[in-house]
Amino acid sequence: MTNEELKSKIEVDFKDEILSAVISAQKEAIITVAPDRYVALCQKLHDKGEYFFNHLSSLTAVDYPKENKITVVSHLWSYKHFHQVTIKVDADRNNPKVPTLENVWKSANWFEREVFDLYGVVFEGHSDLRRIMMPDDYKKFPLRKDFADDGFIVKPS
Amino acid sequence: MTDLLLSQVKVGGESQFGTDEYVVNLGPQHPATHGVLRLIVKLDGETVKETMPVLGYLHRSIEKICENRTYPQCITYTDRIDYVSAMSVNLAFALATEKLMNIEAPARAQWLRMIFVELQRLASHLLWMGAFAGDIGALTPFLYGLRERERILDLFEMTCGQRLTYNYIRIGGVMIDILPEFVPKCRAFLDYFEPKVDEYEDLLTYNPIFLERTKGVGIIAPEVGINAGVCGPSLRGSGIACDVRKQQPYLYYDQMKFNECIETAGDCWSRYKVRMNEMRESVSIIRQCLERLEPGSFEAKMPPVLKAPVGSEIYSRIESSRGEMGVYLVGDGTAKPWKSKYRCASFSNLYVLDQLTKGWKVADIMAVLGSLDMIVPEVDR
Repeated sequence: MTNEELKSKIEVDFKDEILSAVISAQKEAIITVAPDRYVALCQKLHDKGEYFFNHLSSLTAVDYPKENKITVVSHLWSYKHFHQVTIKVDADRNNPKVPTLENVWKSANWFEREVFDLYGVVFEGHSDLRRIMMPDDYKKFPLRKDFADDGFIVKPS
Repeated sequence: MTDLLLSQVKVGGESQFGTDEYVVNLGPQHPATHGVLRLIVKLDGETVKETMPVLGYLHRSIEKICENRTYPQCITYTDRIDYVSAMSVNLAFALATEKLMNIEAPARAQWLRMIFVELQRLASHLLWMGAFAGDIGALTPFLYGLRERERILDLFEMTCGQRLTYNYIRIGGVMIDILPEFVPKCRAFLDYFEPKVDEYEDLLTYNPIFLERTKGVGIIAPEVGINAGVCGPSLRGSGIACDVRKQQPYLYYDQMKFNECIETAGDCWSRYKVRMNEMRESVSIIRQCLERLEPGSFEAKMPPVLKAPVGSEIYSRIESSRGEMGVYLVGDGTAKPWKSKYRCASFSNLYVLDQLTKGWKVADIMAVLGSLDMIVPEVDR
């Protein structure tokens, strides 16, 4: 399936579950979904034969302070049909909470830990939500845009 | 020592030689972890019950740094993500940026990129082979591997002046054209190198000790592997076709004749065999590229300041030496990326380590870790 066909098919099949489906300027199919439908949609995309997105290629987040949201972005790939789709889910920046994809793809475990560590997004239902890159007692979320860079310089005591 | 052991035997007691569970810390400074990786291992006697990788000792926040650098400046940092296979990461970033800004690199640049990325794959696999064999006690292949890698690095040095972090593949082309003597030297190297792969295989592949350490050890079941995000040669060792060069061709890989190397057993030996076969395929790809290398410009005409449109985003993947390498970029209308994410094969491959080592002995951790071809700067970024 080309990305256009994929986008139209998802738009028809999941019209109640998704918020929007677009083709980006770079010709990628991008699906936006509400947090409460997020896992169910991903489970269907993973299981259904004509989609069969068996590979979670990447999961990350993007910070938009002006719109007061953090978008969790995951990229799915099918080893069977060779097609790619981007799933986006928005979270409130002050209290970001998104359900975990760990029960669909095990690989989400570490990806989500990384997003939790660097953006502070809490993945509800995650089995092992700890910091992964930064020290356990670290307080800040470095990849947020308002991260103050005083931590970069260690002042001599 | 004997006294100590004897003192633990309870004479007349019921449980003689009972084992205790204990926790061992491997690393972060350990010669077999290929860098500053720390593993906390729970052991019962010598049997591994649980392995917990602790990451972050090499976290340099490259993704954050890239948000504060212009696109061409970022390429320098991509070198440091995977210093053993720097060309691949250069390429991944350059391709993503080109797609983001609709830049088309000229044909000669594309051919040069393919030649250098495949040479890099050879160099990376050679170092991996040496380190992997060294991990499980065979030290000779390391010397063999580095001997040939040296000649590849000479080719790189001749072209771009660097031996490790090249910064050679740039947005819109490459840094500089090759010298006239590059092509004959590269051909001479390939002629020299091709029989060497058989030599390594003579040394290792069916060596009884090597087989004993790798055959049947650390098996990744195909379904488990896909679900846990294993990719690249490590997944191809389990019989899954997952080569990005075949599935989502970039550069001119769709015009190349090469086989995707697949083994089915899923153990350390299969992963080893996949990489050995990949070296042969890379040699064949480089030969085809050298045949078709055409004269022309090595860089595209580009605006002086590269800016990505507002709201543009791209997720672009390549097959690096270690597996799937993805770059996610979000543009915001300025010369700097709003967001840059590097999806690295080592990071997702390391996740299965716990499952693979459960029930095996301590020494097998090193065999499994080595066979995954993990490199720490890519894990931590």
